[in-house]
Amino acid sequence: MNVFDYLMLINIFLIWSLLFVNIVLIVAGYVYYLKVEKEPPPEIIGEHPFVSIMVPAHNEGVVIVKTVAALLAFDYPWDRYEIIVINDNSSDNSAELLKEIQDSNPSRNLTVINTDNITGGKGKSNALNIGYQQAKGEFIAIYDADNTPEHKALTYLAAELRADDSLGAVIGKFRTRNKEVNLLTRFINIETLSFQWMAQAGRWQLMKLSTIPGTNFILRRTIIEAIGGWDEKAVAEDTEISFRIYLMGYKIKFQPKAVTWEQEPQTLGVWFRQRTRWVKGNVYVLIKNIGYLVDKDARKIRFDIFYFLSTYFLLLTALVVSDVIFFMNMAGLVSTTIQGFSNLLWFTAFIMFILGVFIALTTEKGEMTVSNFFIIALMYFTYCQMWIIVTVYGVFQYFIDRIKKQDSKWYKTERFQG
Amino acid sequence: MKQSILILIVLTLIVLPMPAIDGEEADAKDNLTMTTKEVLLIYDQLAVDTVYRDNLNTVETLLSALSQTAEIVAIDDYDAGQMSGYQKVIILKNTKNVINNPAFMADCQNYSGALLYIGFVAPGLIPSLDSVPISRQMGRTVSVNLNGLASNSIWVDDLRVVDEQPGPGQTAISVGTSVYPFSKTMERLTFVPTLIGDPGFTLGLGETLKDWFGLAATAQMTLLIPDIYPFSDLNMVIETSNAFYANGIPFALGVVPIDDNMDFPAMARFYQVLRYVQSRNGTIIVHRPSPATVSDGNAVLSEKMYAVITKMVENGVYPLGLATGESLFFDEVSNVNPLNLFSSGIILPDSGVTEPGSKETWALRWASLGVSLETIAGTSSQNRNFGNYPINTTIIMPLPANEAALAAQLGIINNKWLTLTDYKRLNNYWTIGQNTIASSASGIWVNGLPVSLSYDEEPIEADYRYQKAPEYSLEKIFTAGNTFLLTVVGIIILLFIVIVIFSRRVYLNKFRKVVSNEEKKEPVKNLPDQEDNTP
Repeated sequence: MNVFDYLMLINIFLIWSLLFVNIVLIVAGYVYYLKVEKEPPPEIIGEHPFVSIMVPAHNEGVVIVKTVAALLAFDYPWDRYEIIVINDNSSDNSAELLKEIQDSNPSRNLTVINTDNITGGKGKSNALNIGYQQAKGEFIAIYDADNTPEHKALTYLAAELRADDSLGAVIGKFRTRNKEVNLLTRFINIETLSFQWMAQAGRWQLMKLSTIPGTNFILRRTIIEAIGGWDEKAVAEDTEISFRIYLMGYKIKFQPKAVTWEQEPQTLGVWFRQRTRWVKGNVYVLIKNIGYLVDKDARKIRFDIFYFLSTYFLLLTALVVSDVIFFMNMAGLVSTTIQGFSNLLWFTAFIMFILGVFIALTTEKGEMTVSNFFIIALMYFTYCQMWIIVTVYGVFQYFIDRIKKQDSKWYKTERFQG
Repeated sequence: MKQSILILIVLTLIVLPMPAIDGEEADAKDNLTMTTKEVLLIYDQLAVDTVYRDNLNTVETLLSALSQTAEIVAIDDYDAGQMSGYQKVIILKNTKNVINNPAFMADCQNYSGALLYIGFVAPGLIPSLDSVPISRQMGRTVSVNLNGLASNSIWVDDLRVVDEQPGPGQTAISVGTSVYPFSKTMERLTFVPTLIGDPGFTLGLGETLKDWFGLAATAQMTLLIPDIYPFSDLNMVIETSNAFYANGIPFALGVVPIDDNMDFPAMARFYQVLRYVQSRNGTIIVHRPSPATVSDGNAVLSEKMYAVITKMVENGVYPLGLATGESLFFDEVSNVNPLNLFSSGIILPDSGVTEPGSKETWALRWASLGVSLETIAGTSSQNRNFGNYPINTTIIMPLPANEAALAAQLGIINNKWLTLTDYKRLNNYWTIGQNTIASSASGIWVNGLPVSLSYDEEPIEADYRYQKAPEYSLEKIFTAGNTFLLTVVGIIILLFIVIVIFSRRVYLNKFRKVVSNEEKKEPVKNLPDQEDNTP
């Protein structure tokens, strides 16, 4: 056996290990789904907690009106929540649009904070910190500017947080509003569903862990105060704050009945830039917190750190290295002697992948379709491979930024009319 | 003027390649004996219904085996003065029939070259023959004695012998206690009174011809296992090779050229076997396919044979000679390239010739006459060592059908104390396409470079694989792991299928009301699972 054989051996072990971890999560996620289905929707007992909803927005004129309208329509006492839109250094007509909404809803707690390139324009974390300065709620809810939450979403989130003091935050579910636009949005729709039911629901069921997704979540004000606001260097502020909440001893619960609909990238370019930001942000958080992997006091987040480590480094490295070795072997540049597995096994693993993802879709209305079954099969060969590319690129870009000692630029996802 | 220039250019273009073509042909024929036709073979009849039916074929075969060229003509077709163009004339008289060609009869009277007369004497045709004392004996068992080697128990219906005592060392025919010379030479005339289709008589005539042509005395004997195909019993080929190698017996393997499916596993295995044979001191000889069996014609056959030889060389198989029946000598030489480019060959007994047709003037530089192993077995030797026949011979030994046959055949060879020559030591050479191959006592040379015939390949297995199966590390672990993972993945798939089926029920229970309400166009916002405010 040579060095390439050992590398392949490690890769095979990693790939299959992570595959089985995800299978366990799929099953656990489905168990959680059944449990939630049996339970009645959470209700707030007693007085509704005051909630500050913060919406960071940068040039979101295309979607902001619909978003604020949806937030105003929450089935939640008007006097028990406020909406703070941080119009962060926008150069479009967001300010005018927000002003119009304010004017037409004078009785509502709607605050619009307009920043310029001196006070704002430094990314989502900075915008949230600015908004937080004016937030009065004991609970803080965050929505992205392209979201259309359902009426009951805030109630469900607040009810869960109110009911359990061990919870630091509660996250809801997000759905793809524009899934019918093209194949890419269909892929993203399937991806988001499977991720939430596998990674979020599964981890919650097994380890009482979830990761804040960046939108449609609520957390305690005390937590923000304790951690001193959002880390402005983190471009994946959601993951970053999740780790901080874990370290404080709180749990983050996934409540799938709190649903928001959001617009996903409709073009590959937008998708690529958005996902690159995610990768870079998550790598930042991972590296920042990697030390907790061996910290005795951080047992709660060890799995999450390992999960991120395996996804962004181990699995990625295993896939890339094994692919490189495979092609070099084909070209005769290197030789490997390990036997490998049979094609039948790879085929059954492929079927397993399709079924695993399909299970997540069975939980949602209108998603349990034959066409989605085939789209999943197609995803394996297209979207999943694109993810490998974007992950490699994101990790590479992260280290380039570190070498150049420059902060990662926060890329604002472009919105589409509709 | 312009037209003239155009014609000149066209002609130049046409003519320019010609030297190249000529050059190729010259190269191709380089291995052939290109002497002018020295011999005129005249026969009276084929005598197909008599014991003499093989005589013409025997003479032709011997001529080819002695690397001689000849023109063949029937007496009836003989033209006046034709004989005078040849230094040597062979008259084969298979019948007692009267000759009705005055021109032939006249030319016989006047011919001054060397004359070999075989068969029935025609009174008055050759005056000196009329005085030769002939003893005619009907129904005799005879032996033909070839300088210490005796072919015994040959039945002859009508024996005619020169009623004289043979000279010392002369080939003789023994009848009981009487001994007669096989032939009698009188100045320019040599007379063979009896020739029948029997190996003993053939070899006797071979020695007579050899003396008549004044050829060198040294003759060699080789051994050939003919007609080996990819689907022959290759295990027996290997076993025979091993047996011969162990007994120090050099041998040649006659390979039938297969021009189709040359990349098939059977061919790959065949080549592997041939490489093994070479390593066991075996020489590869190529059979010349009969044009009669090739419907595509000689031109296509030539093309195919080029491909066959090239493929063999690519696969480390180096054919050094040609094995052919005499009948194939009648085909046009230029149309059966490249097999006629071999410098050496074995002339196989070919009893099928009845219509000789026009014999081309070519011969191998080194040739030998095929004799069966039975002939060897039926030949007694005065000495413990078998010695050699008077002319080059090749023992034709069929591939043994089984181990017992191999042992029997090997026993014959060993018991006879044969002196066999290694075929590759015969200074063979040929150039076909891009390859030039030569062999001598120092080995085989391909394009000027010596080649190793050692065999270090994996043992030939019954289930031959095209490529050597790669050796894998951790094969057992991966095989077991594969089975384990297949089982686990199979279980997971089953589990997932159960979940999907179950979730279908859950799905229907969950959304049935929604669907029914939608059908009734009732508002859905009051339902517990509503997804209100959706786009």
